[in-house]
Amino acid sequence: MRISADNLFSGKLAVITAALLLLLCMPVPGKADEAQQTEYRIKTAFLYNFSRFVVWPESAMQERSEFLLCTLGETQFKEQLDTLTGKTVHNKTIVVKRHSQPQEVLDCHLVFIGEQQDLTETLWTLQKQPVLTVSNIAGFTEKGGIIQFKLIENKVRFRINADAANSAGLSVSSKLLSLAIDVTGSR
Amino acid sequence: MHMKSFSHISIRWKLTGLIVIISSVSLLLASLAFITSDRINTQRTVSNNLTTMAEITAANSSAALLFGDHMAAQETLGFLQSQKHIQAAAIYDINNSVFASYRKSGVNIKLPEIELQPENTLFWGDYVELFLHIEYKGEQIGVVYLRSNMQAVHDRLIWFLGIVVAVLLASLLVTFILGTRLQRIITDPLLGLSAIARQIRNEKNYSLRVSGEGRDEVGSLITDFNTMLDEIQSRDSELRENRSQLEERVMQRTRELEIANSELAISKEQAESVARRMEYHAHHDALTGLPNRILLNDRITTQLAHARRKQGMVAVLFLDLDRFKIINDSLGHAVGDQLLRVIARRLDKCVREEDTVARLGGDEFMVLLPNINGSSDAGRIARKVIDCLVDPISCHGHQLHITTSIGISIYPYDGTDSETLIKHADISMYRAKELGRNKAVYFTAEMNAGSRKQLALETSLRHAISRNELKLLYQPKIDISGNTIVGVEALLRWKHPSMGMISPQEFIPAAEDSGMIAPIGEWVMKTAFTQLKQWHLAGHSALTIAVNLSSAQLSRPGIEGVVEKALQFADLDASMAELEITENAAMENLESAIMVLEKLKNLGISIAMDDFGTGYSSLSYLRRLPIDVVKIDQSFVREIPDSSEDVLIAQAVIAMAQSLNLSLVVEGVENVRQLNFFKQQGCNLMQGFLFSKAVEPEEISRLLAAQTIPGMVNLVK
Repeated sequence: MRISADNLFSGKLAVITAALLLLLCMPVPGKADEAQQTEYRIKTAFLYNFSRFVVWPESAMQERSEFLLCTLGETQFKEQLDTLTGKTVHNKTIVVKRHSQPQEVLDCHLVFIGEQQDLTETLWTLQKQPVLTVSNIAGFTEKGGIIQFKLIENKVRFRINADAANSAGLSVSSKLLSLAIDVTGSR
Repeated sequence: MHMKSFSHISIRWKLTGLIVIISSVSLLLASLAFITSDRINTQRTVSNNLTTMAEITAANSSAALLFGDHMAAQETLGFLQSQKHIQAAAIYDINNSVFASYRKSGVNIKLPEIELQPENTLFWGDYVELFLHIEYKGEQIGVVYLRSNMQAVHDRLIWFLGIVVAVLLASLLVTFILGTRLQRIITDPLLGLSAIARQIRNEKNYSLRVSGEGRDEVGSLITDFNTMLDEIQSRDSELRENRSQLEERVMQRTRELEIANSELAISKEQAESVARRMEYHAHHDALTGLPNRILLNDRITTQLAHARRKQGMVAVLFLDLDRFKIINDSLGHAVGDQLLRVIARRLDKCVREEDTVARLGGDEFMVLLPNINGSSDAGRIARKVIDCLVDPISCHGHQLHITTSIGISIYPYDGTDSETLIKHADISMYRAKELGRNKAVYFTAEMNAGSRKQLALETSLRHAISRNELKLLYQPKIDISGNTIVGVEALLRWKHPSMGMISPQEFIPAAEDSGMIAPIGEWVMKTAFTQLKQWHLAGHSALTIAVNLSSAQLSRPGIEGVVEKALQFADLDASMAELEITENAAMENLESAIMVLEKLKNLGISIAMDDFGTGYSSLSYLRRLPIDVVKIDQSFVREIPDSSEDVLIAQAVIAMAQSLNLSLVVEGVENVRQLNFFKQQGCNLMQGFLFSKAVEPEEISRLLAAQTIPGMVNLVK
């Protein structure tokens, strides 16, 4: 097939121009991804630090030789979470596990609950269990979750439900409480 | 110059100053130590406080750091607002970037950039910085930085400096007051001493004394000072007395001479010249015309006083001619005298203008060197003196080589008074003799111990009598009217086994010093009186004997008993014995001399005054002394009749003796002209070489038996 140069040129140019324009107008997927990566890197650090400022009941600590940091359901955490593997907290080595069923996380010390999870069921399952529950879900603490991440002015902050922590047998450091945006429940 | 002005300050203020300086320095040092220690403490406190604050900040901010919560971290720094010394604070995160910071309002400080910042506290003078790691569970998560000003330390320092200055001033005042009071314990006696010394210097009043007790050094200084004043006072009064006596005597003599002159119808000018000569004579050696011992003493004393004020040096050279005695004995004393005159002239020319050459008598000379700059000056001049005598001296057809031995003593090293200096120069002169003569020797302290000759003399003197070393020679006394020997004078001689003949001038002082004068005097009288008794028994019953009495004998109590015992021992009639005393011996203690002489006279003994005219005794004193005989000294006789002044003196003495009804003996008659002169003056009793020198008793016996008088043989020729 022979195409005239002019046509070819005009046809090709139009395509390239359109493609370029498209490229320029589209949100840069790399950039957005990067911001999210940063956010989750911070959140990973937060998860690690939460575990350091929370004291688990002895029974929960003695049962397992490792510190199980788990996710429940789909989360945006990628490999960042695995960077915690091998770190120690409360003299235990962190092991990262990803679960999908609430029953599976009963063994975990800390669990990050994905946004698609059925909160009612999950929280009911983990009720009074020595498991530190963390989630992005809005109203998480009001529903009985212990720590809820909240972005304020692009900064990762958190809320704490002290009562929920207490009933789970966890004692939260006052330092952590003082950093929280708000603390629900009497202390 | 500064030191000089300091040296003028009174010792009182020096002491006070020292006390104040010492206490100020010690207080200052103590304060310095105190401030330094306090500063260290304050710095430590500041550092501790900062550390505490940093630790609180670190603890409170750890969670905020971990959760990246700037606000919360900022809040933890909020409490620093209440700490007014904190200028700035910061929390760095693990990446060394500022996580939270605080600056005091109104303070603009750049926060330091950090990297691997160690924990430490840095003092920068004005401010202090502190870095502290923020850790959580053993993991470093950041750094706290605090910066504080040093106001607290400075305030404290100023406060302490204020206290120190106040305490220093107060203690200065107290030490000054105490010092001015307490230093008096030491300075009052010293100032008293100094005031009295000054008063004495100004008023020349040596009767003043320093009061003060105490057994410390100042106390003994005061005691010594007073003792010294006692001595000075007694010397001063002695000196004054001597001076006034001398003047009185000279004046008296002048008056007496004027009387005598008018009697003798002598012109007034001549009388004045006689007076001058008398005065000159009192201060000068008759033979050489050099100053005598009296004048020399006077000059030494003057120069010592001068040197003491100027802190200068004075040297005294003691000269003794070597082997002069041999010349004198072998060639006759006319040659000896001539030689002494030449030597005197040479010595006088040899030394410097300001030096004094004096003759002490015999062959002894002394040179006083004022204003010398060191011992070596004295040595140099002594050397020159020795060199001056190198050329032979021609004298009466003889070429005489004479050398001298010189002893040197130097003020202030070898003595501080004339007597000591002369004594030490004398001792070192003997040392020069021992070392082979013709040498000058400095005095050294060791010599003092070995005034050996004197000691040896004293020691051997103790055995002189028992070893039969003493003997008496006798010089005839002639009555020229009948050409007969009417008496003899006993003269003591000592033949030392190793030192040979020693003259009484040499050993009598030693005998007086050692107390040997008593047994020797007794021996002399017993021997002389016994000898006379033998001549009496041999038929010469009119012969009298004269024995010399030294001043020590005269002042010894009980001398009349000794004389009486000797007379009894010899069984001699007292009227045949005559005791000769010198004018000076009698004058030493006139009152007691009068008493002793009276007692002796009561025994029946007659008293003669020897060497009359050489001392200062005046007619009035002479009148009070119970004497019977006056002997005219040979120093007046020597130049008669050539010296008109000596003629006048002799005439005056004769006139005096006649007016006092005293008999007169002329000593030292050497030639016929002298004999004729005195014969004309009505003097008949004479002694002298013209007739006979002192001879052995056997010779006297021979002369008496032969009825001949040796000199008279010449006279007849």
